[in-house]
Amino acid sequence: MRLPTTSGAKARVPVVPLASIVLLLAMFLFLAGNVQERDRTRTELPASAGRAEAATGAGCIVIAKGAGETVTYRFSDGEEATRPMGGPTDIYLAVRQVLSSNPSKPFVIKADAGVRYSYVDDVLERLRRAGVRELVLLTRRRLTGSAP
Amino acid sequence: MKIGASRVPRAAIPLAPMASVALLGVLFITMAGFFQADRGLLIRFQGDETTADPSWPEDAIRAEILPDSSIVVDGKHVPLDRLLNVVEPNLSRDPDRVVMLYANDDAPYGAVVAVVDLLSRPDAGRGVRVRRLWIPTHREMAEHDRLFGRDPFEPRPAGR
Repeated sequence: MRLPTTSGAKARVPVVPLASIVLLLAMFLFLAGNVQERDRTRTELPASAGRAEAATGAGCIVIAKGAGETVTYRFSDGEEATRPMGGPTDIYLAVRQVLSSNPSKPFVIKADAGVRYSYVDDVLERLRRAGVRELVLLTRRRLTGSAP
Repeated sequence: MKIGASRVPRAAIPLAPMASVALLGVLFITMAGFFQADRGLLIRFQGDETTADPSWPEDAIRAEILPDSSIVVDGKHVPLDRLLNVVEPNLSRDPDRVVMLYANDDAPYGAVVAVVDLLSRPDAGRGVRVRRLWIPTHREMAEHDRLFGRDPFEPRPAGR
């Protein structure tokens, strides 16, 4: 007796849907990186438990540790990526220019936890004088009870 | 002879895969928003020198952060974990009392953020919270010094 051969379905890995999902992921990551990340400066942010969300499109001022005791400054108007700044006076002028077209523009400060406070204070003073009304000191999340 | 009706597949938009992809998209956006949103301590300026309130809170609770990150409140050293215990009795008598924070030039920025975070969190204390936290810039302090002839963080004369 001859039994008929079974024509079972071939086992296959569905490559096409996988490729679609990978493509979607890649597109999403690319867009998210471009849209949300205005600054890629590596900084060790201070920790805080209370964290308010910064407004979308806020201007960004970066104070990062440089060589030795120095710091480097960067600035973004919230629309473009950050660019280097010479010091607080340059930041003041740039902020004034931004506020002339949008007086209620919010700002964020992204500063290294280890920098001397005088550097941050200097920038805060310039922002105050420029007419900034609201800003967020960027932090990383700290669990309640852990050391700062 | 009976001819069977041909089985024409019904035209349909495949909704199930579309819903799956939409769900994935929503998940990605939600997670990205959670991880990438800029967050931190919110600071509001009173205004520039032309609009700011020129009055200086003479009865403010004065907290100072020293270069070694230690904290001095009204002239006494206080560890960070006991800061609220020291501040709260004063605020329970007058909840609107200003807490004025001054950080030394050489204090690490991270230490300042830790103190601001502790004082500005509504759930940090045991019921009494700091409603008015003021962090004058060093320039503001110098202007006060020039106008009134004394440092507001110097101990006040007896009887005041």
